[in-house]
Amino acid sequence: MNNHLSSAEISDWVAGSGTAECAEHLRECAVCSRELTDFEWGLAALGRSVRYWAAQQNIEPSRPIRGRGDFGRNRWRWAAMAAAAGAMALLPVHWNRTAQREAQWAKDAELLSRVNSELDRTVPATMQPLMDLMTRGMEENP
Amino acid sequence: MTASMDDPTEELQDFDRVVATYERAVFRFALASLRDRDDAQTLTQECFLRAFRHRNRFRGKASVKTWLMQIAVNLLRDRARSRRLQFWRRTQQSAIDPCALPNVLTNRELSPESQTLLSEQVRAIWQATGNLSGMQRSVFLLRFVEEMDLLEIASVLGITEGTVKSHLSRALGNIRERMRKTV
Repeated sequence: MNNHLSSAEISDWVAGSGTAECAEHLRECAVCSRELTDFEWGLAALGRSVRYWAAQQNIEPSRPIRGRGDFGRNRWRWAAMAAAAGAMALLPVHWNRTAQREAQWAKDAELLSRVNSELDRTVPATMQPLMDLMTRGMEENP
Repeated sequence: MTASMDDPTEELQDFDRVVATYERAVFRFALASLRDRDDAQTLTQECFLRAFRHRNRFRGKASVKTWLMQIAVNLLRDRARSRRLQFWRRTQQSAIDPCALPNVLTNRELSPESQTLLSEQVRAIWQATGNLSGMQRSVFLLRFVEEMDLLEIASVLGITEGTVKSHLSRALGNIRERMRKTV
């Protein structure tokens, strides 16, 4: 037998898409049969090696997936709760600042009122009685 | 017991048991694909986390193992798109090598010379798989490491059985081509 199976035909055979002609050839040709057997041995040995190798690698125990899943599903709820807690913690500070601001506004208003009343005066406060006498005299003797 | 055998969705009721049963297989596939223990560990955990979150979508058309492998393959595809895998592709040649475990290949039926030849062949195949495309490597590893049949692989990858054969044949052809150059 001169025509042996090509590498592609052997690959096809191992992949499960060999033809009837290939099967017949493999029954009759010791060379191709040997080549196929060697290749299949190598593939099987690789599978065993990798499985053994993987078994030697320690896997760290998985963290509880249930907990991680629940957190993942509820993460927006957790975020909202954290935001609400933060807002509540800041409320007293806000209220304190508002009260301080309002007290300052009251003081400012009182000061402004005093300034206005001072400005309304036409003479100094010490001369006010004299001004009153003069005003009364003018009214009596126009 | 028969309920879980007949209806795969029943199996997901006890998720801790699902993890205990299939964690090794998913990790092994991830390890063989990525060739890095930590990366494989991370991918395995991501796989089970995604499975847990989407467990209500599992309809039981395939086995739980097939479904988990589908998730693992999708995660590997996601990683293949990231730059991180490009880094691993560059470094994987120096990563841990399963062929560095000669006792695995010990076979009393083989002569020492045959064992040496077999070791060399295994090493050559392993190196060659590192150069396969993502799809070819997944098909190859599911077939020869996970020992899945062609229909199972088709279900995992969401392709037809004929396409699986085609990818597998091309993968084997590439491996044989590389082996011819190295052995």
